[in-house]
Amino acid sequence: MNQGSSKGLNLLKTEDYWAIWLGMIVIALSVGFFWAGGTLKPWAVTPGTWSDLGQLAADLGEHFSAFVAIFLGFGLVFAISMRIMGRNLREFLLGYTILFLGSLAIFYLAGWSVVKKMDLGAPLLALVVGLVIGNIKAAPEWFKTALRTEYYIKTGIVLLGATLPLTLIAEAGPIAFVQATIVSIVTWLVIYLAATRIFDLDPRFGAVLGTGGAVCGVSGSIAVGGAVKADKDHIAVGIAVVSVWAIVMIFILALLTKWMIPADGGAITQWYHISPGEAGAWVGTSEYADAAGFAVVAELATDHGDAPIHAFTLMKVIGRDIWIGIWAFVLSIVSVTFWEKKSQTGDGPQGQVGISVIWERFPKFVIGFFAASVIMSLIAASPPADYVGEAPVSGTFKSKAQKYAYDADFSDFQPPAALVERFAYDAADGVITFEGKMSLEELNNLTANADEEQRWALKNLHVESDWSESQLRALVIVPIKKLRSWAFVLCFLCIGLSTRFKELAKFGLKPFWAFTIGVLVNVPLGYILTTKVFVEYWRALQ
Amino acid sequence: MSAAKSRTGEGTCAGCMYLIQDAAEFESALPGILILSSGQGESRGDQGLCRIHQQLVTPEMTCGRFQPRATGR
Repeated sequence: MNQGSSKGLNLLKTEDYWAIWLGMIVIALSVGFFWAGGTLKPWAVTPGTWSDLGQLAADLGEHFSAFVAIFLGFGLVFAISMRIMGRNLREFLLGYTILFLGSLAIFYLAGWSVVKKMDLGAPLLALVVGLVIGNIKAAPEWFKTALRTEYYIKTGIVLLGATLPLTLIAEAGPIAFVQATIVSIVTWLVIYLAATRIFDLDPRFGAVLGTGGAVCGVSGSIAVGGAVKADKDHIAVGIAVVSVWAIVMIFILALLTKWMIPADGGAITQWYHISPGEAGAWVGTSEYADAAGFAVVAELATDHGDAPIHAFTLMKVIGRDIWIGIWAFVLSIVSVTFWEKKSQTGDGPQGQVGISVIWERFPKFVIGFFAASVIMSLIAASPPADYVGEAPVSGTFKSKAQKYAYDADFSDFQPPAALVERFAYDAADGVITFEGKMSLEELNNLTANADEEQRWALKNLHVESDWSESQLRALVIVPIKKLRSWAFVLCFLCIGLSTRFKELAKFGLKPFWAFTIGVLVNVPLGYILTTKVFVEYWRALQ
Repeated sequence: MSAAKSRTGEGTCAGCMYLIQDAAEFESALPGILILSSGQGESRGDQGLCRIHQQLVTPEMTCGRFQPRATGR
């Protein structure tokens, strides 16, 4: 399909917009179910853990209809969009079915107790399995129609917006922008200067390589490629070099950060220790493509929560990706003013891109990411005025760090006078209740005269009194996160299946070494900025 | 390039038969693009590959080798 027929909005013509539409459908469904008094939770699931075939069969049986629903739901929107974008529907559907079944198998493999002991989550496993299969046997042409790495990751990022509070973006976004700008400019200059001054490559080739390393990987190389009229070979080599390094860095960064983050949320006691937030920010500065970086932080998230994903998103998507149009515009001017005068052969394409390129190259799916964050933040900020939190007097308190089964008796419990109106004990139902959100100070006041078991029950009530945490997160955001995991695993499997190292490794050594010098500067610079200069921001990030 | 030409694509890469702009064809011409990117995203947008010069170009660019695209393409 011709994408260039219009300079206006391509609302149905690009993966960016379709990722927004799909993401918004998922969010609307999740919120709609919730407002109707239900939840999407039973339908938004990922396979559980198992240690024998009986457990595996039981889990599959329990969730089978949910897996079918996810397959059909995602598949319907993907299929419609691929058809509208001019792709072969039959090829896509066949490929998508295989890809979905492959992702399901990956999830189950990652949930096997034997694999869990190997500390290998579904994201890395999808990549490894995909790489092995893809390098043994090349994917047939028809199957490639379904290998839409970018489409799947963009959908995952839009869904991610719903789980990332706007306040977090507002607080950490400026720091991410400053750090990302430093890293982007330094990395670009190093790669460009190495390419042109040391290896004597065409400046436009240097720009393509530099942007691939500094801004947003292969997409960055392509976005800038047209603006500077890069040769097709330059783009092809840029794609190969960036892809090889991005995949190598997935493994290097995943292994390094897994080793550097203290296990089980432990304290930072060793010189090499970093927090999950720092790990995500570092990956955000030192990975070259969104999909590759998400493979690392999604893997980290299986053990360390969402902090690595949040930090990575702030750094990579907000700090680096959204500025690609400006890079294209500036480099286009530089190309026309300096580079093309040196290398013009006479009858080549003429012209310079206009300032509108800043919007045209803007990764539009980011709008969906922000919109999702705004929507969910607004809902979270508007809890029902009459909300009453409720916790059982006998139950289990669970948090990231604690789990305790308690059995409390509140028959003689006397709440402080100031809280008598809001606290209640219902002996018949075996619950305690609290009107409105309980502050930490109010929790301390309530627990001041409580015994050990009552304290745990009151801590549970404290959590349950927070509507956005106990209701919105549990019933709306968690299902969205589950569906996000599907989009991510589909993407990581695609990366592996579409990577053929033998076919990629056809580039000359000059561009490879120019890019490698950039890597050697970028990785330690990202580490220092994250763990020394801006450490307080990334360490505090949750 | 006149404003009228720019709008209609006449005389520019946008209306040239040598421009590869179809997303599937664009992806086939750049092996490996699907690993971490796509020919169907906003980062590529309306850019295409020139079959004559083997360069990545934007639709508003021009050159002396322009040949109008056949009607109906």
